[in-house]
Amino acid sequence: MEIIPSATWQMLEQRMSDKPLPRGLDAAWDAAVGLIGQLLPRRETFLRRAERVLSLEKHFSEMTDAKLHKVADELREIFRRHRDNHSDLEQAFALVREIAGRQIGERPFPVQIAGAFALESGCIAEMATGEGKTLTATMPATVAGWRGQGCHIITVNDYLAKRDAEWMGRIYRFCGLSVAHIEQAMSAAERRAAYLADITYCTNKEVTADFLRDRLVLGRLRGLSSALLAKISEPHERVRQGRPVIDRLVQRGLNFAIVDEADSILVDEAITPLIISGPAPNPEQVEAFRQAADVATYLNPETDYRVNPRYREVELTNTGRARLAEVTSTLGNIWQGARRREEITTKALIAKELYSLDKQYVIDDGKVVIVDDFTGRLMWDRSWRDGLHQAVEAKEKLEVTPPKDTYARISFQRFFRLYRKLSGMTGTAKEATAEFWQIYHLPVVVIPTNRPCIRKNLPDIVLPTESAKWKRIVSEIRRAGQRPVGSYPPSAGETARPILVGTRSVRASEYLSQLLKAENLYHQVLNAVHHREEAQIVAGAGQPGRITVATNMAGRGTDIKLGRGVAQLGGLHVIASERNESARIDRQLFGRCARQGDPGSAQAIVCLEDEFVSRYTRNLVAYLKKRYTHTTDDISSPFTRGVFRLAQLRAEKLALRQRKSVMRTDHWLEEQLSFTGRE
Amino acid sequence: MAVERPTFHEAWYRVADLRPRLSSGVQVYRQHFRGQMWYVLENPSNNQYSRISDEAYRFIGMLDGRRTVSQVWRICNEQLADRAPTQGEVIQLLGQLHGVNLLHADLPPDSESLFNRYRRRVGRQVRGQLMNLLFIRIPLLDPDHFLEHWVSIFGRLFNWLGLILWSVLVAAGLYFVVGNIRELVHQSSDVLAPDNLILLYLSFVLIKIFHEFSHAFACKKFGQLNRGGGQVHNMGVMFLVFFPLPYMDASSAWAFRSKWHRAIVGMSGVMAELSAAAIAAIIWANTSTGTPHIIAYNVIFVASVSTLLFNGNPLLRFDAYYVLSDLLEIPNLGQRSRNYLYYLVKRYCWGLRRAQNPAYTGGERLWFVFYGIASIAYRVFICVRILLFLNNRLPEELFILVPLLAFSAIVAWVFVPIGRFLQFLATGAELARKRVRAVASTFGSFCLIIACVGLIPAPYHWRVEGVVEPVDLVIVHAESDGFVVDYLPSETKVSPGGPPLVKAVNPELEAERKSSVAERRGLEVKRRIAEMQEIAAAQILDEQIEALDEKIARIEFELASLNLDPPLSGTWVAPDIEHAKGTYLPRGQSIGFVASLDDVIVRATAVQKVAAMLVEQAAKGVEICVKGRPKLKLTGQIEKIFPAGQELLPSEALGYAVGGSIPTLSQDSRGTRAAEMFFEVRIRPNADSSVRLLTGQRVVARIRMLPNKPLAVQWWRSARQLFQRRFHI
Repeated sequence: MEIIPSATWQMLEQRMSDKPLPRGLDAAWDAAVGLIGQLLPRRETFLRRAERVLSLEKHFSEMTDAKLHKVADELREIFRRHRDNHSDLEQAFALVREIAGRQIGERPFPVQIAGAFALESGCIAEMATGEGKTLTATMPATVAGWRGQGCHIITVNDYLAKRDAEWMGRIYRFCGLSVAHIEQAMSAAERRAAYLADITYCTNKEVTADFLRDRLVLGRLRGLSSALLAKISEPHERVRQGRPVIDRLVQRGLNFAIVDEADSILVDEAITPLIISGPAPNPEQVEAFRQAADVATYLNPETDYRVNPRYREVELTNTGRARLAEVTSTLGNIWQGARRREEITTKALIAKELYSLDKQYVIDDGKVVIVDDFTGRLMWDRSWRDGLHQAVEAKEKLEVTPPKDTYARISFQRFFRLYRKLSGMTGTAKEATAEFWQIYHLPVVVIPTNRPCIRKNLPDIVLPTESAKWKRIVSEIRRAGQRPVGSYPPSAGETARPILVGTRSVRASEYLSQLLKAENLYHQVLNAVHHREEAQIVAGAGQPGRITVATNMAGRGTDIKLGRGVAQLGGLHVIASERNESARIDRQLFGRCARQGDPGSAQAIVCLEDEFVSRYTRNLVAYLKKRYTHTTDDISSPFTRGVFRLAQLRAEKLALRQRKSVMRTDHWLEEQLSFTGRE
Repeated sequence: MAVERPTFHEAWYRVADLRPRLSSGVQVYRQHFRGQMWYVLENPSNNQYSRISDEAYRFIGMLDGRRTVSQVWRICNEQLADRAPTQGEVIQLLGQLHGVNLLHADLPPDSESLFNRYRRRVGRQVRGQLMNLLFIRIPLLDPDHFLEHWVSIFGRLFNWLGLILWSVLVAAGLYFVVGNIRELVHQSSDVLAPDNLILLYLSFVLIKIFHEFSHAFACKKFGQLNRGGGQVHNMGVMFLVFFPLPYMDASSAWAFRSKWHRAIVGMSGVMAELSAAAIAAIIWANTSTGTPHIIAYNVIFVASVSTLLFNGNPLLRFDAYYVLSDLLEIPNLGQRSRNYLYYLVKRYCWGLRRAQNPAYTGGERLWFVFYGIASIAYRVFICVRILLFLNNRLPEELFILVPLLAFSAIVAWVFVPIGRFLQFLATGAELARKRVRAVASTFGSFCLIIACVGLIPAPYHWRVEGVVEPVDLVIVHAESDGFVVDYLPSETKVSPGGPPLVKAVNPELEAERKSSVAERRGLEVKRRIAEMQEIAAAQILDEQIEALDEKIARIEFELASLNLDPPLSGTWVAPDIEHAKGTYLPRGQSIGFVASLDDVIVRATAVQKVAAMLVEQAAKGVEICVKGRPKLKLTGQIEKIFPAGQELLPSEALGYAVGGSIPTLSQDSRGTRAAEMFFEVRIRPNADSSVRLLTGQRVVARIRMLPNKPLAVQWWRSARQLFQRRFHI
């Protein structure tokens, strides 16, 4: 008589492929349901229930620890049997709140409890940074742990996973739950044990990769029944594979996930596929990439190919094709077919024309490292697809990494759709309400801040040219910080307001840094290149007199604490040197000031030459440029600001459509490939 | 990226290590299309066919269940270089073959998505049938065994000798048809008479059985010649416009190697119909009356209509279409020509440089353009014709079908394509970059059409039917009894004071006059005597004479009126006068009439709905056409419009029963009592026109309405009219 642990059973029962998105009228209906659902007064309900939890405070605070343990055990039984009702949930939250107060000295605020209710009911809770999202997650996580089917708390990096697991572990353990975290370096056995814990802190990458690896282990076994059959025929299996398949599985099924920074994981990175791959050396092709980089230099941008910056494409002209054939006539086999030849050359041209050092990528340790377009962060373990990475490497004359063989892949959006229950928290969600609903069926609930936010959002300053913009930024730094000319070293500026300037690219941050140096303004640069000191620099950005230049998302998640006396000066002032494709990212930058009731102000300084506006509102910008040819003055007006907003709206819409179409293509492919069994 | 056929595909890893092969039962046929080699794969278990290109077949052919997909792909790349299928194309190809169950993979397939696909396919079929309410097919039997048994006899017809026999037969039929063309046309008005409908339908079924068996036998016969193939497993009932008809599925003929064999199978139905028509023509021409004559006529009618309008016409998707498409070596001609038109729009109106061109060769393009436009136009034409035909001919009880059919046709052929098109405009991925241009140009041309149709006023005409009548007409009656002794021949110009129209004698009257005169003379003598003897008696005699005088005068008047003088100047019309000589004419009998034929008037009728508009907006000048002679055109003036209140038509020719436009009461045997009151419009033709209108001719008067109205308003009014006529709204 074999016994299969229920965790394994659940894993085998796990759906391996997500449901396709609705189409046509169904999609319109679904979107409408989402819009109407958004009108429900969820926030008010959650706040009201939070009040009820607060009212239980006295009841629990009078209990001894032993009594609390006892109550926790009782509640656990109720939740394990899924016999819980509204008041049990409130009791549970009140209990966790009391335990949190005793164990780690922080008692969740009402807004945090409201956030916990939002997570528990499967919503995206928008909570400003610094409002204690980590603590918020403990309440629904505890309840999920009690229910006994596991709970994943998804964080953005290994460090946070480890820190939170240790920090919050005391609460969970008090409630009788086991807690674990997943790190990159862990072995399969350790992972298995960690996933078996009631609550598992992990990163999106790790959890997705483990899922894929499990899928590879399962191989041809599809679903519960065939796995069970395989188990019966085990003697043969064991001879061949050493250990039975179902014992090599790591995960226990995808039941409930609380995603921290949900917008970045579920939206920005949604279509990034996670790929399990292995080496596939192909010297001929590697050589071809190198040759292509050379060939690309022979071609003339005017006559041989056309570059389309809007869609980031390069197209060979007919003369270009002819010339290419001529140039490559002596090269190897790959170059003899027109299609392959043009394909590989186009790649090289794209690398040459559209990908530039310090903007799309940096070189670190002789390797090309991608700079995330949205966040400005370095993406170490990512590489471009379809040979583009190799083309860039060849262009930079680095060692070309051979293309890899894919074994399994899944995009984050499809992976997270597999969870039976999903919820998330982030500082900025409401801009992506439509997307959260249409793709994940998650409503967004905006939780108010604990103390009212007194950030002053100043209207954008629009300038006609790039140089005028940088000039203005420098003068704004001076003005807002009340810095006299030539105030150097920093000690002289101790009475000055701290300022944070956000740039979109590494190159822009370096440029601004040069300007500031020329002006003798002491400052610190925080960009992908200086990533090692990231957290330290960000943490210090609130000190008086500090000027910090940072790429947009550098050090996200780290609090900027205001130095002494800064609050009287008006708090941190944030300047955005460019608008981003998504208003969400702008808001994340602005959200770095005026936290937790501190004072602060934020302003964007933009110009007509910014690449992003001319990409999405080409005609309007061309018109404006023509109109303001002869001026370098401030041209801010509701109209010019509106153009930037319009560009943003268009970009957001395009991005959503793209993500949906990627998903549709995936599903279409899935169906085409149904004969290969499920992925 | 900017590469049209990217070599690599990110999902390649999922197929790379598979070792699939074609299912064992698959039949492969090689076919040439316009110089290109194609392979047709048949799945014998469900008669599904897939056509794949030469390169794709080279790939598939190498998959033997031992090599992996990626090994084969590499070999293909070495052998075919640029023509080798890319990874994406391989994935699509394998998916496509799997979709028609032609692929045997070594993995258990994902059964959920298999079922999903099956459900979608069934759904699509059902939807397709609902959309196509006019042509529903219900399979019933498997006739293969029966055909197998009989093909040895009937199959003999399909050779050169058979073709010659057929030609002779058709030529003979044609000879009789041409020889009797006038009568043939004349009889056509009876074919749709209600009492003939059943016969008509039966002949239709007969013809169709003939047609279908001809297909089936041809298919079997050539199947035998080809040593394999040619199965006919499906026979059933097709509801063509709700009339059940037989059908057979001879689609296995597609697998024949020779395109001429395929063509003969495709055309055999039409040929059978034509030979049936020829036989019927011979019978019809050599009988004069009776049931065989009528049935033969129906057969000729059905066979020619169905051949010319439907089966023999490649513009609709019936037999001739498939044959044409096959002979041209352009498979899927209809679909692809529409795609090509789309492509032209995408490429040239919207500037989509990467639109996929469905044409493989230059010759195809011309065909696509021609066929695409012609077939759409013809389809619309035939659909409208069918609907109008039904609208006019269906009995009142079944009439509800017409709007239903019209509605479903509009939904299927107008709304659905427009909806698809809008969806494509709004969300089509292909348009991502040119959406603004596409939407703008579509919207622009739409607005332009709307403006042309809906805003720009165009001359607006209304047509009314009428009959020509003389302005002055006097019917000549016999005024007293008599025997005709002389007459003027019919069609003589006469005028008052001229020779009498008819001379008659009445001996009786003559005698009576004579006796009266004699009597009077006697009385006069008596009176003279009485004058002398007693004066009182003379006075009495005077009175008697006076009475007698009156009588004589009356008799003389009657005698005089035996000679009928022309009442007015005009033409004397008395068709039967030749037979009248010596006959007795009772008093009051009409003999003929005298009418002024130069001075005619058109009496047109208009139903009440139009009348209001006529009264208010009609221009005075109208154009007049003679029915049946469309080239004759003359002008006229509206003289007067008599308001409603009339029920008796000026002539039965205007009534519905004999093809006029005014509905008449069915119980009225003479067919002149209109179903509702109508207006009468009197139109006087202008004297200057060179053509003469003849009395009794049916004409159509084209009345111009003022002011001009946009076309949309005009169409709307006509459409409303069409329905009002039937629904009496």
